Amino acid sequence: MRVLSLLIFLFTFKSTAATKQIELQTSGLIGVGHAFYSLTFSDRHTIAMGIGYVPKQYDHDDMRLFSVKYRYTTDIKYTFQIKSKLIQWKPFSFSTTMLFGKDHDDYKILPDRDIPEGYYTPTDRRFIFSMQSNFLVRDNIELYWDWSVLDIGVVNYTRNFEFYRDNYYLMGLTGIVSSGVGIRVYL
Amino acid sequence: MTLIKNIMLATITSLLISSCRFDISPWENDVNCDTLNLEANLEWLNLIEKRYKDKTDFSVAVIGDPQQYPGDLELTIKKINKINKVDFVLLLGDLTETGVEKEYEWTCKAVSHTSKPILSVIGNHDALAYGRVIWLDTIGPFDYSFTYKNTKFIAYNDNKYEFENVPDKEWIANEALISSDETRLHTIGMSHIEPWDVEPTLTDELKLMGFDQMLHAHNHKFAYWQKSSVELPHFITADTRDVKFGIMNITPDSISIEQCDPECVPILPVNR
Repeated sequence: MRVLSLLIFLFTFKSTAATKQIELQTSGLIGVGHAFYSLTFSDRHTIAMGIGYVPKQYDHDDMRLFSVKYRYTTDIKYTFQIKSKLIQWKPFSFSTTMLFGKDHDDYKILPDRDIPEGYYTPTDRRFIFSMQSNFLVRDNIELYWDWSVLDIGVVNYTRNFEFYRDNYYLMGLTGIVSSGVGIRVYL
Repeated sequence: MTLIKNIMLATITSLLISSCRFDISPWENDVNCDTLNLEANLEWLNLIEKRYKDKTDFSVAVIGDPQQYPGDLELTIKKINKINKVDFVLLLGDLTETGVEKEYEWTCKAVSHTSKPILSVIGNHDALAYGRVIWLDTIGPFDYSFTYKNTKFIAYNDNKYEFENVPDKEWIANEALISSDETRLHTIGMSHIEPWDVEPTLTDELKLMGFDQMLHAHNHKFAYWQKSSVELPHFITADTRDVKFGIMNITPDSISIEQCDPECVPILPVNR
């Protein structure tokens, strides 16, 4: 609740120091489409709130997704030219997203039974750890590629490095990484 | 500076190549895994039974709770592969921690090294999130039975937090019945959780149904007990961390249990 209050405060606070953006991302574990409204402070620290959607599948309800994200963008930047067009490449941003999934049944919340408190972690809330590589293609438009790993992926990869290294390609990363692409418009 | 640039370029290129996979959400349920499919494993077991039809004695490896440690599960499977007397493996639940697609895939990858059929029983964690849908699509039914060398194995779901009206005692009793034209040497039951405290007489009921041996997991530690008044032994296998498993040896006249950590020693049930 405190986090939510802080976010509402930040998003309603008319700060001239913050740049505002709208982002649209597809996949990378956050839905077929996920729209973010974000504020960036000091060119590095970005907080974002988003909503996303997963369409209905034959054995899966459609889902609404809600997210809160923090992103840190490093100072590393390169500028290169493609056909007289200048492109600025910011190769590394790192983010943590708290994702909430909701559907029309109780699959992702615990059943209403007499389960001891703390026995399970609710499975409708997940943390996603990501890296983005960003390309500023116009003054106010940035495209990015996203690599995301689910919380349990980080835990398992750390605990079972040899397993992932031996069973998947590229030091086991193919076993845990999911990709996404996005566009960011600076307002 | 050139070195840093090269490292960055290599990192980005590796990630680009490694990330052709677009997972829409953590709650996807298309698990690409044939290794754990019950139907395929039972067919495989049937072939083994036909191939060694004159052999009366056999052994079964009993493993459980491999969640979050697919590396140790792989090592356990590789260790069991080397034990010639083991004909097949029983995996007694909690293949995943949170029931998501990726965890099922990692477990599947770990057990893909097996040289023996693997028959699984659903655990409480496997039914979280969309886990039960994944289980039904990828592995098979929650309750099932099969017979191997005149010993009947009955697997049942007893995860009370996630399912209502489990275990299905009527179904279990029917499966345990011996038909008039059947030659049966033993009846063995298996579920993820040992009889719950809220069902203190379940072991009595199972004994009356005709069970000779029960197998479970869930507690992550080895245990072997029987109610002294009932004498139906319940073996609980440990999790697979650091390569732990049980072996059940079956002859026409007897059932015995070995506890492997990772070396195997025979154990007897403790009276409660």
